[in-house]
Amino acid sequence: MPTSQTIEVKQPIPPVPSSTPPLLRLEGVRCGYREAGEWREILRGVDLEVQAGEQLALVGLSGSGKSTLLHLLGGLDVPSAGRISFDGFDLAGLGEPARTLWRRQHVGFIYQFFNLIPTLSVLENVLLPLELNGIDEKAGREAGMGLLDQVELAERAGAYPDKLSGGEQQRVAMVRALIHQPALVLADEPTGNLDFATGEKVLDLLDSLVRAQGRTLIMVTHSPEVARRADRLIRLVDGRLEAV
Amino acid sequence: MAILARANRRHFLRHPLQLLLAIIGVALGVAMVVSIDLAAESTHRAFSLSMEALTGRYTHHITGGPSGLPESLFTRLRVEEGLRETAPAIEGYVTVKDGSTLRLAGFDPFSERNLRSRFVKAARGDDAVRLLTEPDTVMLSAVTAQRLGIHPNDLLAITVNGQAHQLKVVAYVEGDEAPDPALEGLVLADIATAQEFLGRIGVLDRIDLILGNNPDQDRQIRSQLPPGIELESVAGRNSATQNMTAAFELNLRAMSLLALLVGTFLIYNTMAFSVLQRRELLATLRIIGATRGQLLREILIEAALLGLFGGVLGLAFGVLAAKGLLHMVTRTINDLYFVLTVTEFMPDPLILLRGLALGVAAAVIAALGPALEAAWASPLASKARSGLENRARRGVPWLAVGGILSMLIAFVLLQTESAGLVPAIAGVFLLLLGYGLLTPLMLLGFAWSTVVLARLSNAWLLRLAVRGVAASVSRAGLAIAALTIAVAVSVGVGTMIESFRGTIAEWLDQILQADIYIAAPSTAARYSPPLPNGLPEQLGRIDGVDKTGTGRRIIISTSLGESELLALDPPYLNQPGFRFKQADGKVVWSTFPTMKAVFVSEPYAQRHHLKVGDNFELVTDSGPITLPVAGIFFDYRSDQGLIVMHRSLYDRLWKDGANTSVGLYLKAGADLEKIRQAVGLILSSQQQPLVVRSNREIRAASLETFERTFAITQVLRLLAVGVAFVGILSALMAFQYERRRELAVLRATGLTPAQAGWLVLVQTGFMGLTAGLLSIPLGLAVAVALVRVINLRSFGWTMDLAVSLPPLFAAIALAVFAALLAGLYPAYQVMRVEPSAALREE
Ligand SMILES: Nc1ncnc2c1ncn2[C@@H]1O[C@H](COP(=O)(O)OP(=O)(O)OP(=O)(O)O)[C@@H](O)[C@H]1O
Ligand SMILES: [Mg+2]
Repeated sequence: MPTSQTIEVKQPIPPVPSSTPPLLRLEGVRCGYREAGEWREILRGVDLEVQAGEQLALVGLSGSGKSTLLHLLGGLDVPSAGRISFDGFDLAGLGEPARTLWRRQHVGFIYQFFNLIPTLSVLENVLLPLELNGIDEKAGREAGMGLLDQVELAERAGAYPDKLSGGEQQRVAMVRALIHQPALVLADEPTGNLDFATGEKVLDLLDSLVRAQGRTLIMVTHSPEVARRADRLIRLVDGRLEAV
Repeated sequence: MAILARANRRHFLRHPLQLLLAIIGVALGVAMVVSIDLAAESTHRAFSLSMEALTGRYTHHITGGPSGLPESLFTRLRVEEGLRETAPAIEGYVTVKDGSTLRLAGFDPFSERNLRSRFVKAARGDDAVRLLTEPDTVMLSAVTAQRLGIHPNDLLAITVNGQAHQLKVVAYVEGDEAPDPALEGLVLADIATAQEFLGRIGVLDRIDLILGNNPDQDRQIRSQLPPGIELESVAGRNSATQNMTAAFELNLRAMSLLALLVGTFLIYNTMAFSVLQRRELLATLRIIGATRGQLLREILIEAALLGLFGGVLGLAFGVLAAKGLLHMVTRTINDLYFVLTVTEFMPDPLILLRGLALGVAAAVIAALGPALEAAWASPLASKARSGLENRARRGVPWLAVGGILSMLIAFVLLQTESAGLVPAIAGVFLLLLGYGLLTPLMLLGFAWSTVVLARLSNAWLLRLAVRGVAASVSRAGLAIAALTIAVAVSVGVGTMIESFRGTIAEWLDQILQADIYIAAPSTAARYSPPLPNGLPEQLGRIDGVDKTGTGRRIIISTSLGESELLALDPPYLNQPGFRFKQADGKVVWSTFPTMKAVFVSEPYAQRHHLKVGDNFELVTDSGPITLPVAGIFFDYRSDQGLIVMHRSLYDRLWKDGANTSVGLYLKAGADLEKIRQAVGLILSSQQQPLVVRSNREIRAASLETFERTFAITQVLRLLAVGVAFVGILSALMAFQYERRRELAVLRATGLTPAQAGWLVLVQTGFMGLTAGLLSIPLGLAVAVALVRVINLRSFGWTMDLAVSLPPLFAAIALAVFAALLAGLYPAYQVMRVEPSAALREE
């Protein structure tokens, strides 16, 4: 079980924890921003439980706080109040360095824009999370090429991101989010920038990869079609979550 | 961390121009520091090597007054005092056909052969015998012989005190051993031969001794010496000579440090810019899980590599530049201080290493801010963006407070007279720094008033442009501060040189009261050969000459160390020959012929902390005497200073009838040219060639030496401005890069490419103008600091500050021009860019 002590251990990547108790539990999570001297609360007491292996779609109006919530789940930010526990321990209790180490091991991120590092080739982008987890390029190469093959991009492994189409870039981003076998995959409108058909294809691949590996996925989306693929649909309204 | 490193390193490969600017910045900074270090070091080494070669194992010298030591003293010391480890020496300077000055040293092969102290090879064998037995024979240093194309048994044409001679070179000083660079410029002759050529028969300059470390023995020897003759240690004498150039070198080093600072600024810029450009990349890395420490390390490594590359390049430039600089430095030393020939130029690895370390350290320190910014920025891009400028804007008043504090400290350092030269230089740096910190606030004020004016006159493009500058105060402020400081330094140094030149010209007018001067040509600084006896009287009888005045310059020993003494016999007392520091100069001057006291020049008083009324001891031919200081006068001929006494007092204290120069005061309406001809006629009958110059000619020649002395300063000043310009270019590029989205939005809403280009040029022009205007007060402050404090503490020279307007306008124009020039490339880029591309990029 990962605790703040074992986070330091870089290898091997731990197996997905078995369910019950929940992988993620949010209790009364609050978050806001100070703007022009005024405190604006965006999340006003979010409660949520997510089982390992679950696929969640998160919807809500623009500006409702979906991205904010995702950042909290990924440890990029901390709530102003409430608890976020991952596999039983409190994320907010970790300092910034420990959260970073936790994130690099257990979280995969996919977002709408600027997903890939422009100065790294496709394969290098994919292998970066492994390298950060202490697995060198050579050792990770096979896994990387295998996953790239699954998204039909193996022959583009040496190309730089600016030579790829939007859909191709998002597929690479997917592979990069999954390569280190994180327990939790967070996706913020991963198809928001793509046309419908391309988006469908990307999502099919994401679906199959995540389900095949038994990962937990939380995906923000505006599209009802996309939302329908999920096991569970939750909506952010007035800073609180409601099931749909 | 291979991939992580690659992600960052490749960023630079994609922006080669930026990379190049940063590397050039470090390289120029390192090059200046290293070249000055190398040049100084080479002159030091040449100095100590040649001193070593000339003094050998000797530990002490016995020296005399202007007339030297009687040869008999040597015999007496050897025979009566039993000082066996002694050798006689006489030295003088001769010139050869290529214009260079050689040192003619007379030595006694017998003494040297026994002591095996110096010129070991030369003192042995048949060649030494030839020196003794054949007339007009010498040995020449092999390096010098090579340079002059002379072989053994060739004739060497020399000029001593203006007289031409032919000497036969019988061998190399080194014999058949490898040429020794330390002996460069050495002509070795038997004592008698040297005495003859130098016109000093029966006289020695020095007796060299090897003494144990025994103060009692020293005291014993001292007590046996006749009055006016001194025993001193070799080490003390050498370091005193070398110390003469200390202030001169310190000033050079300060200049080079300034260049390194500007180079550091350049690296800061590049690193800040590159972090800015990589903001998204760095955020993504953080999201994937790179730690703050990792990013910090990456960026610092980058900076260190930059510093290393720039540093290595800088070393190459530096070594090249050092050779040119060495020439300039040696020339200045020869003009002002002592004769020194430097041929050996060997880059000292330690200096190179230090230069490289300095470059790397400067780069890492400069990158620290941007690196911290990169590591501590939130990975959430929305938070990072406006936060930076907001923080910068909030920081502006604090920077200003820091700036004012720094300037206050600078003021205190510059005002405290007891503080030395180093605190004063630190004060100037703090002044520059403080003003730089104040610049953003002044920029905001200036921008605000311009916006108000622009609104009144409905100049929307100007308003838009200036708003843009004010909005990114962190970049713009930095670029403007850098430009301001560079231009101000240029203004300050320029004004200082201008003031100095004016002061010198005025001073020359004051001291050159006679119409025609006659002196023997001097072969070396601080050495003035005597005139033939009876010459002043003879010249005074020429028709049209009203009066004559004589001068005698010698080096004497005093309780304050070796000093230059000038004995004067001015014919007129109604007009002071000097400008005195105290008010009653005229009164003091009228008592000159009868006073039993001396005047000292300002540098001398400064150097030895003398005030009017203080006493010090002079070693005269009739023994030591304590004399009071009756006046301190302004004088710029030497930063070592000068003691002046009346000829009548001099004659009472020294047994020396000689003169060094004669000044002829013509009757009103006398024909200068006719009298010159008459003088020429008299001189042509003399054995010794002499130089006749009108006061105008001396004035022109002195000013020429002045310009030569400041040639290095001018070069360094230009270089500093050059480095600053590169800095501004990169700062402006960062500035425009940051504004590209805003410009794209403007373009999308209807701004034409030409208007966009103008917008950029108006912005950079505004920044240049701001810098130009801001640089004037700072430049004047720097000038005041240089004139009133730095020069006073370095050389002891008070000068009148002379400010003229045209250079100030030129400085403003320079700033605007530099900024516009630097803005051309960004403007071109802005005109070319597709607004859609810039907008899409998020
Ligand atoms: N750094 C910040 N400072 C101030 N307010 C912020 C900041 N980041 C987000 N906000 C505000 O928080 C609210 C929620 O933002 P968030 O990005 O979470 O919305 P979202 O639900 O993801 O919207 P969208 O669907 O448009 O992406 C918005 O009103 C936004 O303006
Ligand atoms: Mg969002």
